[in-house]
Amino acid sequence: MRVATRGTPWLLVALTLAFPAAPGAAGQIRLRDVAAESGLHFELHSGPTPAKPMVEAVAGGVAAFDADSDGLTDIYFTNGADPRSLRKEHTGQWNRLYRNLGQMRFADVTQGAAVAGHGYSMGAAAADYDNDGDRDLFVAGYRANILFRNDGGGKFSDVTGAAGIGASRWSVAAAWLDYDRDGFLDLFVVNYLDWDLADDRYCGDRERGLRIYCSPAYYPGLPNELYRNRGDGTFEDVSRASGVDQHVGKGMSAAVGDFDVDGWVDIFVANDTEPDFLFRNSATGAFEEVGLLAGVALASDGVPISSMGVAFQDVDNDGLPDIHVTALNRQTFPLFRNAGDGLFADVTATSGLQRLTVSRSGWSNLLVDLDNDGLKDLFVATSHVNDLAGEFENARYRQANAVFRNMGSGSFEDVSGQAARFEPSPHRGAAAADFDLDGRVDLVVSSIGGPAELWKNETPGDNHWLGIRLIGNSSNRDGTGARVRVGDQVVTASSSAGYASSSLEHLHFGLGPAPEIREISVTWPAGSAQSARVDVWDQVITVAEPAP
Amino acid sequence: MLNLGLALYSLGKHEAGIETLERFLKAHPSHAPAWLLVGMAQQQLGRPSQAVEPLRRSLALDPANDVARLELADALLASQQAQLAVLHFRALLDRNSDSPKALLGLGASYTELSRRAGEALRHVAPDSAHHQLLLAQSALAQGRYRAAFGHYRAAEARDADAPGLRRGIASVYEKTGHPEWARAELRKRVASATCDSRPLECWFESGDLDRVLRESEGATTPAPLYWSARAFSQKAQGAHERLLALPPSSAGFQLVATMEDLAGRPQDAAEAWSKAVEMEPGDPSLRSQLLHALRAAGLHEESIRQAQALLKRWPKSVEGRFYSGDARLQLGRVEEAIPLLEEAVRMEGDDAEMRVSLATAYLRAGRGAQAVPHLEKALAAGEDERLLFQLSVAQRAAGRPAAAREALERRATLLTGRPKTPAASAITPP
Repeated sequence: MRVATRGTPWLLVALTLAFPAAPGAAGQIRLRDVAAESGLHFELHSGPTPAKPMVEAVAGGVAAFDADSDGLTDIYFTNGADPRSLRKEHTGQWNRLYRNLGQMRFADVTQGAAVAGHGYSMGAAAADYDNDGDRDLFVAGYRANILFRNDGGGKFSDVTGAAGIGASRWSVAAAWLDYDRDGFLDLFVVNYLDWDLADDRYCGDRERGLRIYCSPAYYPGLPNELYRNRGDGTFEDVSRASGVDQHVGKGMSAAVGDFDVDGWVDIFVANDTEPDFLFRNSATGAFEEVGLLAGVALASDGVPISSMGVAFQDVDNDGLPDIHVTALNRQTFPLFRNAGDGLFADVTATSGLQRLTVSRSGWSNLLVDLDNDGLKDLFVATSHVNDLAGEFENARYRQANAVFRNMGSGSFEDVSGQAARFEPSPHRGAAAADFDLDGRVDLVVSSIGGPAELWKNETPGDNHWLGIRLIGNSSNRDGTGARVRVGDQVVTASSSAGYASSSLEHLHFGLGPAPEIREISVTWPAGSAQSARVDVWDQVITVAEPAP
Repeated sequence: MLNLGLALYSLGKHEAGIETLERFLKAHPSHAPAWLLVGMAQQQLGRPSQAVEPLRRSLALDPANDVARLELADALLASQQAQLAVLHFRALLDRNSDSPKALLGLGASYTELSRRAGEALRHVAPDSAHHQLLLAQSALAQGRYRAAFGHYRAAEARDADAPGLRRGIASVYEKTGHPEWARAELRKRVASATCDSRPLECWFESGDLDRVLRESEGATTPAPLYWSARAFSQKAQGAHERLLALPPSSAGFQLVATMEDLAGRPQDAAEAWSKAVEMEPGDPSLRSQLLHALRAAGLHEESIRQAQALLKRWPKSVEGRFYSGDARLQLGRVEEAIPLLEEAVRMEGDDAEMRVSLATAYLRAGRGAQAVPHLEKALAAGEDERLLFQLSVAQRAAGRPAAAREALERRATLLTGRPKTPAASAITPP
């Protein structure tokens, strides 16, 4: 392998994996559900039960990460609990960790790994927060947040209390980021509602006996929390000092990206029926909420929507991270294009996404290049929030997932029908990873009351790809927050994924049919930058940050 | 000239029709049908207060004309003269007790009078037990049980013997699955009302609603205002029950549609409007109501179909253009929507809703600068957080960042000044 270096010394420490490209016709995304044959037999226990406690509707986060450091991406599912006690009363309600055995085979290792969790779990976020080389896991839940420290060998310890992480609110999701660029990952916890089982109310139509999950409008929202990693295994609650707790929302997900490209990562929070937040990192330890000013708090009609999942990545390869949000039917899934001056434009209609999503309800949304053509496509795990939606409006509860292919001209086309045999189901979380290491990004999706889906990417064609695994040195070890450019594609390293989910593995770049020597650059969170010309593809390369 | 006026009316050219007919009436002031046509044309143009006088003249000249009486009653109701409308609807029912339209109009008139009495009560004594009772009963009827319970408790705090209080609270308990609490509530002792101590309540309970209304007419104190609101409401219910007992009719479906809408079932409301249109396809106002309901229910494809049907029958229909354009906008067919909405706004420039729809279309099409004047005109009717956000985006697109910030500041001021909605009370045991 030849690597031409320029500028800062380039440490390309290892060429770790190499695989042949798949033959076949280009441009036809193909996904096949292999969950049943792979040994992935997870079912999300989260209602709907007759009393319709609100927690049931919003569970289902998924994390894809290498839990045992064997180079293969494993899968963690959060799970519900008893709807009356909100405790996990039997093993069917455990969160589950499935070890990737290779060749798309998985085995349940929950008990050995000690990650069954407790309480009503919602979201998951993976990261190596202690920089020890193995990946840890935060689980968000209803007054039951858990920080699992990876002790190595695929075993975890619950260190929530010792680490100083709060667990007294209803948290749905979380995002890891190094907001102060001190080399340690901090934790942003997304909180939803001030709701209590004892204060639950009846929503729906009593006359017809149709009880549904209540609108969040009936309950007060909560501020989010920010925990600064002290670097010694403990965290300091800086929600107040950072200004984060000044903003009360009804948060469902968060994503991290440097929208103003000032080197300091910012946070977008999807709020349910409230304006979304864009927390701009002011580089002083504080955040300024600029969602309205930047034009991303509301869609173009000015009405708050039921924002659920968020993707914060560069859709149009102009080097600037854009923002995509999922919501309920009639609200569309808005896409905000980063205009480059700290402002965004709502391009939902002009991108075609309004037309394609107006009758859908979406949860986890993933911007990933499914056909390796160099453009990030959009996968959405879909379903309405209410199982009786059809009794009240022109909507369906169970919906078939959707794939929107990025056409490269700022527009998307719906290729769901040809891409897979998607079945209607109450989908929730989803994460993306190349589970079988064949160079094509696969997908895992949770579904309430039904089997999880594992979509093996079997897209044919001669498109090539490149995986980049980051190892931070001065920066956090995951390289979270690094800005990685391959040709005109830019990815901000982050494990945040869609709705309450997490994908932590190498960064994936589709290269199209005719790869060439490409300029690759990495801007690390600590501030250093590297660039090189690389003439390899169809493999995962590891890039380590140079020592200071 | 009469024939020309009639022809213009038939073609939907109402302004020209009125002008022609009024010229005719100068020479023939006793021509009842001509006055009727003028009144009906004014109604079609959405000017009920200007319809009243010609309709009154027509009816004076031809007192047996039920069409003229119905038109006049409708015009009176629409021009805030519900008390007079009642007289005409009742006169119609005296001649035909099964007239669906008269029953619908009578119910609507009583509902309006009840609303007005409640509004007067809110004005003179917003914190009174009577006002809280009225709010509680309204919430109870709409199935908002927590809100109803909160208002009943507020009424109880002011007057533990307030009329119907125990029964109201017991109803909330029953509806929310607590029959044992309901029984306990009804066992509580209350001061019994007598016709001497609380005559209005006594007459109301005995069903003598006319006496309640007679005795409370012109009153400005809480009790008579409360009882007249209740009595009018009871009378409205009576008219509606009579209407629903008749064979299916357009008026019956209109009532069902309104009830479904109030119950938060927009799809069912749209279905009922659709049936009303089927039974009376020549009434453009019903089609407008159907289009409005389809929009609320998110049935945009059907909305386009119905709007096209409206335009085919009434090519100059503003509603047809608006709903056709707006439905396309909601479906993401923005470029198709814009010309229709532009035309609707050109025809009906004062309609804020149409301007907002057009502005939204411009914003979605990436032509934000063109949205600015429409949003400013819509905002002239009053500050609105949604429109102020849209204005900020539009101003930014127009290259006016200071104006964009100012719009957001106005939005923030508006939100800061808005009273916070109190949290609904939990339903607690007696």
